[in-house]
Amino acid sequence: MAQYPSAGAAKRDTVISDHLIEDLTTPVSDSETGETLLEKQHRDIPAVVVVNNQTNTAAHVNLYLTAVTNIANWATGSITIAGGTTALDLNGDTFTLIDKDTTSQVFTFNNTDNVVTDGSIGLLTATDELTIITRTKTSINNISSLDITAGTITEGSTASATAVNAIDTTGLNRASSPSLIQFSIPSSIGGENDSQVTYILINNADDTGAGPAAGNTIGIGIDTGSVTEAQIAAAIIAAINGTSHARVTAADSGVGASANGNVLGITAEQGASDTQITLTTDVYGPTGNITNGVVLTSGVDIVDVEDFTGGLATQTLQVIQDITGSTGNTTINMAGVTGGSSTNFVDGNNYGKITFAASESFTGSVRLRAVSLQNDYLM
Amino acid sequence: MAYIKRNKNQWRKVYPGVRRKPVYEIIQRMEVGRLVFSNSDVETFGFSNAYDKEPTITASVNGVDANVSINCISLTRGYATIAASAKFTGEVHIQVVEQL
Repeated sequence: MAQYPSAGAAKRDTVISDHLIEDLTTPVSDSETGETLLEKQHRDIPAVVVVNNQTNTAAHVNLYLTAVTNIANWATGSITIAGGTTALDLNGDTFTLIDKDTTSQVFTFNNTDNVVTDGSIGLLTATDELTIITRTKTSINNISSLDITAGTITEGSTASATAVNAIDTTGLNRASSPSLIQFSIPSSIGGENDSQVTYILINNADDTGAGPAAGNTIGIGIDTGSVTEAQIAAAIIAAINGTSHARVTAADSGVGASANGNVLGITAEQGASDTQITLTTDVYGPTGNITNGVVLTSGVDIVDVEDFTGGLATQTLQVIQDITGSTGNTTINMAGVTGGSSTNFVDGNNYGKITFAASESFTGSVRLRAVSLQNDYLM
Repeated sequence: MAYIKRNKNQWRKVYPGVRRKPVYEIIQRMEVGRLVFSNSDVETFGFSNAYDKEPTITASVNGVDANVSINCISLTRGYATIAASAKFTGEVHIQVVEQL
């Protein structure tokens, strides 16, 4: 098995080794983990042993190291824009970044232009959180005097856009029919066609939907006099979701012409009552916020909500100090940014770090001794 | 006129006849290292120094999931054998100090 350094032949007695030794003590407060920074520059990864674990809370805790490095590290932090935050919300809001050399830069959001230089974050054409955070990234990286780089963007919590209780079949029956509704679902969220809307026509021509079905039009037949509003709602749900239903016939051609109909890009489910239908976009995020996504074209008005709303995606931007060192652990204050939050720069260090874990939480202090070989002298 | 010739190759430094009493500095040797465990529970660390008697060693486990306890089950002038309470993958950091 391997060991570092390899054992090799025993050294001659005339070789004197020079070791760098440092003792480190770090407090632990009701935690299973802890860490401490090395304060000296080790040429190699030091051998670290636990010298003492002083605690009154868990006398038999087992300590073990989880990582030892002798390499200086960059401090990293993050900026988060909450899902649903708009350019209008952010207009005039500011935050400040401070680099390792205490150089600071104020960044200001505005929704009046698209300028991303000199600390301006222009959001005039930014319609979603991803664009907002991307503009923020560009603006940060455009400040050459600030030794901070904006890096990876990650998506946090998300929600799909919905039209809650959008359709209500109350009042629609064999005698009152027809009702023609249209769906405008863009291909960017999975819709079938950007230039051709999908229709659903409900009438009393038959009980299979073959009569009302036409090009780009899914048919629903309600010729039976006893058909209830709830049964019509169930047929509409099936038509939208593309599931087989006796009263539904797919469009003859164009959109909505797959086997069971189907309005692509959205999913229907029963709403607050068995006559109401809630629609949800299949993709999450603000791109699903469609205005006039479902509209009554003619007949009995069964459309109560036309717009899809509430689609959002929280976005987080990683920011990294360009220069290593613990002085890069500066504060990021996003308190003045609507929907903004942050994590301060952390983990910047000069000479490396030791992290350890325990078999259980405890409170006390851990003393570590780190030793590394610096030089061998021939005597 | 006669002159003196000196053979430079025969020059040599002459030390004083009375030598000072030597003052010896005792150097306590030590060495450090890391012993790799790969899903194992017993490994042996070979020393790089030639010790006159068994040195003193201290060790700690290092690994993301290295919640094991360790013991030195064998110690000689040439090596130390470390045993863990269970098989694990990681390292044992070892510090070896010579006994005077």
